[in-house]
Amino acid sequence: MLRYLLRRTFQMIPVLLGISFIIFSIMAFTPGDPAKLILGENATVEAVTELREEMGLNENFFVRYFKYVLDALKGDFGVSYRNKIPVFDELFSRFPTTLKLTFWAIFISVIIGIPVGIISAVKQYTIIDNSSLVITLILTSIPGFWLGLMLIMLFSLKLGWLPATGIDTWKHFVLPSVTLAGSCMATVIRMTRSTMLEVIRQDYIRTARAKGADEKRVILKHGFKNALLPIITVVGLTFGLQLGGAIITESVFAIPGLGTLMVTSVRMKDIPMVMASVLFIAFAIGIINLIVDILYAFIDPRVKAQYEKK
Amino acid sequence: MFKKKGIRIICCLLILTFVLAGCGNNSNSTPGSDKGGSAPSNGGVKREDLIFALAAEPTSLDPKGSNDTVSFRVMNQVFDTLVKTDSDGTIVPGLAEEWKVSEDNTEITFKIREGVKFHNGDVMTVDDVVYSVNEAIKSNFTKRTTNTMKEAVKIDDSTVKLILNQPYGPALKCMATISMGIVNKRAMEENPDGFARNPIGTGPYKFVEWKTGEKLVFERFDDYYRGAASIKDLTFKILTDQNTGVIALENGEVDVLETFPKSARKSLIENENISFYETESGLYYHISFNNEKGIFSNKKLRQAVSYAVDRESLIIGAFEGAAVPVECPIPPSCFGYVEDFKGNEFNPDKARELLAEAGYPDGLTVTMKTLESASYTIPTEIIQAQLREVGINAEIEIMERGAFLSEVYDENDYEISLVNIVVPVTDADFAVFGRLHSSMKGSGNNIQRCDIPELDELIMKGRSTQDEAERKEYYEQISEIVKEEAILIPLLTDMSAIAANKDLKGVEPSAVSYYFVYNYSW
Repeated sequence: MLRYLLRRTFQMIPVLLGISFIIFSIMAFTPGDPAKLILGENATVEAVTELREEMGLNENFFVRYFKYVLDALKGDFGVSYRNKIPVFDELFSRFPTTLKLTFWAIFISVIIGIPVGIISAVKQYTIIDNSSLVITLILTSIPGFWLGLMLIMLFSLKLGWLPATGIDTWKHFVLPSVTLAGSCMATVIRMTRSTMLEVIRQDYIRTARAKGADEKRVILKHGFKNALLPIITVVGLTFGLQLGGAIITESVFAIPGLGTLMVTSVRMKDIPMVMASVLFIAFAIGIINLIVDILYAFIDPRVKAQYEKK
Repeated sequence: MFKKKGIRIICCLLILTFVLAGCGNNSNSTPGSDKGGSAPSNGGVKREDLIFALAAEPTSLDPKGSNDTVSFRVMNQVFDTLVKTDSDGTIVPGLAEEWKVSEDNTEITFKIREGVKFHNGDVMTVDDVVYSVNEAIKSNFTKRTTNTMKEAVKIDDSTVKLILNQPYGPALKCMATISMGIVNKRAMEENPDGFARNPIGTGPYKFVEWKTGEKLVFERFDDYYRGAASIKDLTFKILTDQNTGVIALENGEVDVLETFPKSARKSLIENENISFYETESGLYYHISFNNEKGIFSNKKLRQAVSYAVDRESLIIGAFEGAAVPVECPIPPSCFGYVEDFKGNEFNPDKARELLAEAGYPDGLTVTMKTLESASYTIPTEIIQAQLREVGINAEIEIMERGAFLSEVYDENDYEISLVNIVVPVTDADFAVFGRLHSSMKGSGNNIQRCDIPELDELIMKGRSTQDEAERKEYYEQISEIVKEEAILIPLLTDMSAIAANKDLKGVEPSAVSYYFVYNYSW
């Protein structure tokens, strides 16, 4: 097991290197001069030239890339072009907020999504199933920014129950988490429903029922446990995606997270910041995938046995 | 049957929830549960805090290290300048009590105010002033305001002399921009990398903390040389989504908001809990052509476009009516703006006639590059429709900002484009020198690639004298040449607006978005 974990961790190195090269190339070869973007359209030409020199942008692409990789291996990911602070200082100051937001969003999706999915599957084609279908359809179709603004208007402006912006207290996280949970929840409900439908038609479920097991036990223990693997995969993937992809929610609720940081950095061609955030998120997704794989082993003894063989 | 009914009920409930959220009168807003609140007092106690919304995060709080208006907005509370510009554009004393401009307009001698303290307790000296000005002159970020300045030298313990490279009329106005803010030399030298996020100035507010992406906190500086401010705790809250900013102002989570969608202007004006202030901004939109290369090197064609443009319908269509037509190449908020100046009137027939004279009786197709932001695309689409009326088919190419700056501003690889210019100093020189002087060709400014010796001479004359009447004459002549040659077509200036809690006093709009919380009180 330990060997497997180590091997998986080392496998991330070429992936991260590949990603770093792709992002660095995209940032270098797409039009737009970082010095010009920093100084603005009305900057004088001497100012832009001097700043380019200062930022080392006049050097050859490969020289710049190798310097970047060498520095990164030493732990130096550079300072942001935009605000001159070390990129990881900014990343780490924002990461806990994004993590908290993503965690609560996933938590809400799972807590509501899994029971609704199970009930939908068990009560297939009943009003409950159809309602859940309508709700998931609505949740996936509603754009995040609209849902966010509507929730703010209702709960913040009209009713005055919850604050619209900020991150100071738990109350500040309610609306953004619910907004973000919207689309994730739809995925969890649909995934749970379809996997459960497959599982409850299996022979062993029939056997469990035939031997007189309680229906609740049949569904939760025999059925749900076997349906859990794909659900965990989807939840893990969504978690990873939301880490870097909660841009709109973060922007609407004025949450200083990674998503808004990435968008601002890309627009400003803040190369060190873009590189560090993309690599960081790639690393985080790698780790989440690893955790999901380990969870498989805990849930499914067959998988565990495979790891142990390796 | 039952199933269908159930689904219907659920759908109705959902729709009702969102309709309830969406409609209703904003003026009945309930204060948010956050601190702040819309009431000026809390149990009869006068409020002493203020939350100011920022639409982006400042890049740096070092006056020489940034050039974005958001950073300026914050720095205006932390730093002071030697001189200041008051609301009618007059230069008034700041950290300098008095000043004298040499006869040849190349030197300005400032007498420094005594006993002014920095936030760290140090007393401001001439050394701090010389250091701050010289650092600003060296910086790339401040080049637009400092490129006519050579250096500052210490004369004695209370006098400093600013030496210019050339006679320059608006030099004092440049000294009033926050880029020339006076910093504490000792603090800067002790912490050169950290100063931008831990600034020490002489301004009315001292820095407390900066939570990245979230807020910047300041507190009143009790030893401020003009007396302590009325507002004690000042927070700048970063709200990048403009719609959220409006809601935050409406429910009292912020007290002052200066960036909002144009569509929200009406509801903010009508909201009885909010006071709305606006003035003509220091930004003006114009149509730019590449005068040197390509299809628009044909003067008749440029003139045809100038007759095809209807400013009034552009203002209504793209700016919700909140803009002022501009016909001379200088925005109205600037010194040197030529009142009553008439550009070519909207006359589609004349435009068609000129188009035929230019050699395109059957019309032509051109490419109009523009930025991906709505503040460019919407007016560009309206101009496109207006040009189509006279037979010019403009194909719009929407570009990402970096690409647009490279192609249009650096390489001047474009035919026609709708662009704007923001003046950092409300003086005509900032609208014409960069845009029209041949020495700025090929750099980021003279994107028209305009090269007319007569115009160059007038621009140089206009910038080198202090005589206001004389300068005005030059700017009038410059405007005439721009119109005659149709180098660019001035369109409009939009409004610079600020909305605040109605109980907040002392709020004033500003063309260049300079707001001073020192003047505010509850």
